[in-house]
Amino acid sequence: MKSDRIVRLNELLSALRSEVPGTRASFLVTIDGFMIASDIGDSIDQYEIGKLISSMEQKGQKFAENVLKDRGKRFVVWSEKGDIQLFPLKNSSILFVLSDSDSRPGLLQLRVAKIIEIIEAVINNEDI
Amino acid sequence: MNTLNENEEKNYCFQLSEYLQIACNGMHSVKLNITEDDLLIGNITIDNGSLLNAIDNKGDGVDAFRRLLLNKNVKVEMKQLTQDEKKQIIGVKCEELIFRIFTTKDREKSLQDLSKIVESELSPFDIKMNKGINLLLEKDYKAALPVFTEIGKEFPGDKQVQSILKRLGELL
Repeated sequence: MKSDRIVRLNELLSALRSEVPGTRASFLVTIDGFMIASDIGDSIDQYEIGKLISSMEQKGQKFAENVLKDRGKRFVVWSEKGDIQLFPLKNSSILFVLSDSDSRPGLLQLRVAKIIEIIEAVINNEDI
Repeated sequence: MNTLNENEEKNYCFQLSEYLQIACNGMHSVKLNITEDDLLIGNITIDNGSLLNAIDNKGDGVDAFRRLLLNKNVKVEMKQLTQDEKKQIIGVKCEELIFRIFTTKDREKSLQDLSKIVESELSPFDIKMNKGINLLLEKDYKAALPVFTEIGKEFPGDKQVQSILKRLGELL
């Protein structure tokens, strides 16, 4: 098993923030609510985020089946100050991206589509 | 109270990629003259938001566009596009091309950078975190608990570790 897996994931998330203007934070959370990689500041409570994801999965069976476990879809929470986007991955984990009002959703989605492939490969210990 | 000192004002320069997005998304017709150390090294032409061509000292088209885009030391000057300069060479949407270039660059960079990371270069924290998170990904939470407990003792200020321990406490 590759020992640098988490370092790789953190670097990929960091690259996402640097390449897409308006991206404030991103993190990977397992379906059971464990944050396995992140590129976030101290102002975000990792435990609360993990718990939120887990409760979505546990309480919303249909939501989990139709959204979180269906790769290719995304779930967006919009607000005036920015938005939260959830991108389900193949391996029952979810990529969260927090953006501010300067975000560029089109560019973000294009970048995320590509980066997800690499993240999935890293999680599955595949060569990239 | 902090006051703004004029001498402390920072100059902010748009990057080339931002000029391109402004021109393309705004459907402008412009010529971007690109300089490095005050020397003109190339230009990119955009007509009504469509990318026409890129020229640098090594050639033109997509390759020149890529070289100019990835050069971090350039400055950009926006000029009006003349009728003579309206010649389409690049037939790809600007944003798509930027994305493609950055993605390729990213992947190349990822491969180069990540291949350099070997276990001996990882910090003791990273090595332990990798072990623990591998167990989480395998859903072996019983085995993960002592690993994170140990990390928590060694690195008590780490929020990620604390959140994982809290969550493990709920699930086990």
